[in-house]
Amino acid sequence: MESIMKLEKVNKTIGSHHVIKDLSFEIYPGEVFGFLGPNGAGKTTTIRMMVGLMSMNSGDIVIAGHSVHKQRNQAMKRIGAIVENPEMYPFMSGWKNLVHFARMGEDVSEERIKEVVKLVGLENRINDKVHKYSLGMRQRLGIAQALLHRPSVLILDEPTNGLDPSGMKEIRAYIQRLAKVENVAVIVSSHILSEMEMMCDRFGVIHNGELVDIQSVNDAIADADMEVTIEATPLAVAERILKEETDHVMTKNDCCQVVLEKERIPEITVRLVENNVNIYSIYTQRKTLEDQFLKVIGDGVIE
Amino acid sequence: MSSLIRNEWMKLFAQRSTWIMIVLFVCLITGYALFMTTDFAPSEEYGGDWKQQLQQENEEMRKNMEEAPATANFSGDQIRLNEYRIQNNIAPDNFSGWNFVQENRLFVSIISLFTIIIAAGSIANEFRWGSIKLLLIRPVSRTKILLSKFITVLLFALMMLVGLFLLSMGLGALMFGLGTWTEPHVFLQGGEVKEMTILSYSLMQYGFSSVNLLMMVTFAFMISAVFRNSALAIGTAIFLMMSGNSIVAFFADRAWAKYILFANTDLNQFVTGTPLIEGLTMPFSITMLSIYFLLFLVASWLVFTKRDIASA
Repeated sequence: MESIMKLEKVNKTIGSHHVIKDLSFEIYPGEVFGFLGPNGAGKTTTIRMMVGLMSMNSGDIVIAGHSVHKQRNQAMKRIGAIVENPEMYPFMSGWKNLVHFARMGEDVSEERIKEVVKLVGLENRINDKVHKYSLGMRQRLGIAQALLHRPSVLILDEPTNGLDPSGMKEIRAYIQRLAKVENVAVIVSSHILSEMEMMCDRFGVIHNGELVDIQSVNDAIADADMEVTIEATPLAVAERILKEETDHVMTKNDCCQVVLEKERIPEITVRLVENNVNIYSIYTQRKTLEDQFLKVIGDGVIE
Repeated sequence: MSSLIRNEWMKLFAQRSTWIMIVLFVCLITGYALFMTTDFAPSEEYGGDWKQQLQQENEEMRKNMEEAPATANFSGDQIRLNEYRIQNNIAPDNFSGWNFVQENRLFVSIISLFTIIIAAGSIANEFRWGSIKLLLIRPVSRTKILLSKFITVLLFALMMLVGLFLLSMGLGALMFGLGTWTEPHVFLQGGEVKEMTILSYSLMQYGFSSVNLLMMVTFAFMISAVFRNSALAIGTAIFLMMSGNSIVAFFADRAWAKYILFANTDLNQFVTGTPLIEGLTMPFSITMLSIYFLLFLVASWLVFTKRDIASA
């Protein structure tokens, strides 16, 4: 599959600080790409370069075949974005804000604006001034603004910031639908990793301006060891047997916690049963994205 | 481009401060007109025998000149004007609506002030609101965005100037009577008597007053684009506007004084007065003004189009 956005050895120096180092990756149509990294890793700088707010020292970003700095307008036609907070004009109504940005694109009809308003569920408040909006409503208006011109690449920085759980779920479902039905490539960045886990198909982790890992969520799941919690009596026997099998055993309340590969669970269960241990429950939990993330970025020191 | 200007215009008038300025301005002029009618009685009224009156004035002035030669310059000019009127049968202006229109030229500096405030905010505020990030990720070049903002600022100034002129004419007609717009107006240019219709003379005066406005507004726009700080832009532009003449006076004896912006902003000096500094001519001043104007715009453009939008 041909990528819709391609970063080619992008470098950026701010002052004497080499913020982005030879960053290369590709985004494909129809995927939700999670862009992760600790604060100061260069995430926002990268996003700003993607949308042409910042220049780069070397390398290129190509969107649908158009270089961001050589064919800027062509590239920008294909992009919709919220960079950091969705900051609109507070003294105008949501509607006027959308009209404002619609005029800056091509062929955005009034029907399209109405359609987008309905999509993000702002019909009832669209004529209110933006300074009366809650953070969640601003977020929705921000998404509406990014979608007006039917972009092929949608960049959302912290898209669920300020939304209540039902709003988050709604936006998540909407992002998924955009990707799967309309074949839009969505780049999402967020600090809430569990949130990202639910939303994204693939992840890129950036640390100190370098890409440290790209993997799909499914790979992450397959790779990961399981954290297995076994509720059993007598606990001491269970613990002794488990210690023979693996190094990481912890007892807590009436349970033993071990870290195992998934394939070994049946075998270990059999051993416990053979040793007359009564098992009440076996509960597995795969390592979260958070654990993976922390493993990848190491101690999290920002250079 | 036109849709960009419509956008800027929409944002400008969606802000309450713009309306406050306009309302304030209308109140100010109307208040001034009311003050003039109640508090101002024209000292001299010329009637049907104005020719005799003027002759009498001239004789008095000639007598005074002999006694006090210091006033010779002013009186000499006045005598020449009066003689011209008598010869060409042009009655002197009693205070009419047209005088009111011309006096209200003073309010152009208020328009400058308001337009400076708007120019200072036009870029700096986008940064302050954070909306600059959404503005600059559209398929529209930064040059066009900058230009649309500048044109909108100029359109606002033009709207205010036309408004001032029309409102002054309206109030002038209502309170003092306007007479006809083809009424001739006589004035001295370098000691020579010139004649113009009152309408074109008034328009010319407004035009000259707008030169300073244009320069200071462009300056404020530049500061706003370069430093992203509207307070700084308003402060420096107003300071320069107020102190411009003092700056010229202070350096008047230097050889380079005529290259100072403010030595050139008053084009009226070539038409109805004497140049501030010897050697200044209209074409020279217009050249200098154009150079400054372009300089301000190029500086704004360079910074605005090249800047990384890092934190906003």
